[in-house]
Amino acid sequence: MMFRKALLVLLAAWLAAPLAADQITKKFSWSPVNGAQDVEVGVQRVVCNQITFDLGSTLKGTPVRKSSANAVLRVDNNGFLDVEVGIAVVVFDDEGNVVATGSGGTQWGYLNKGDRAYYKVTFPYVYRNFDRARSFLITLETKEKGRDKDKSKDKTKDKETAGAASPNSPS
Amino acid sequence: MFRRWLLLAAALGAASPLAAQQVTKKFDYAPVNGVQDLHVELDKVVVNQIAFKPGKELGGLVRRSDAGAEVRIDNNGQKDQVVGVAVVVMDGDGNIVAAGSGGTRFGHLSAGERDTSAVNFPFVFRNMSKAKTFVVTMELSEHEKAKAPATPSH
Repeated sequence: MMFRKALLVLLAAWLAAPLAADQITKKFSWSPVNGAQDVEVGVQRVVCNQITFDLGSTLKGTPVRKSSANAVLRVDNNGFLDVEVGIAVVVFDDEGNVVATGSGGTQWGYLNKGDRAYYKVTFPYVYRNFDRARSFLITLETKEKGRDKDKSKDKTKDKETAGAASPNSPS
Repeated sequence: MFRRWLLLAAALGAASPLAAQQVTKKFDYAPVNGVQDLHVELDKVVVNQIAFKPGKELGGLVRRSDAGAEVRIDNNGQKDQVVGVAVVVMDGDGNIVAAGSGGTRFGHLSAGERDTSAVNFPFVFRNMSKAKTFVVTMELSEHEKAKAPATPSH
């Protein structure tokens, strides 16, 4: 009886867990050569292995304040499943101020297994202190194709099992 | 000799990049109905509220999300300012769960004015439910007109 209760509690907790994605974060010193820097950030056999910074410019003499500063990240899917990819970049100065930040990733569909993609991360509004950059963080977020479907199928199955296991379940 | 030094100093001054002032603060992630009061101030320009919107994928094959945040900025100073705001949301392990920037798109935020800026989190948003802290950096650059020295009147 006690065991069954504990099992139900565990099951309920698992069901309540959000459908989160896999993530990994790594910090690098700022040392690009001609804008490009090799990095190694990988999760579930999806790897970001190069980042190329472009400090960009603004339209001088106009009221437009957006900058064209950006970074392009090269991502390889070395796995056996198609995935959705999200990638965030935050560039810091010596004092921990954010000098640029943004995110990029899959716009449509998936990054197919075995494929390579380049994702652009734009830095439109915070870019004026790029020359003070000292380090940067890259977070890679992936979600395999069909993960939601599998989880929802499992949830339905588990709910049915839990319902059948409960002595008070309505027939 | 003095004139040469003066010219050299002037040349160096002209060559140096027009860096902007910055301030950064870290907060615990504790919004109520998505809204959280905060205080990030620099030169009498204040970011005093942020409203988070966790959001979800737009649907179909589109992977972008409508997640984002809206920051309220008050210019309580005497000068017009161009403002940039960066928001980085992190989980308990230091992973970025959302990041983006917003700010003045056109012109400037006039002295005495209030504005709201949208910060979008289109591609990294799937773990926003794990958010524990966030960092706000405000970047200020004086509007060119305000920066120009006053011309002496005749």
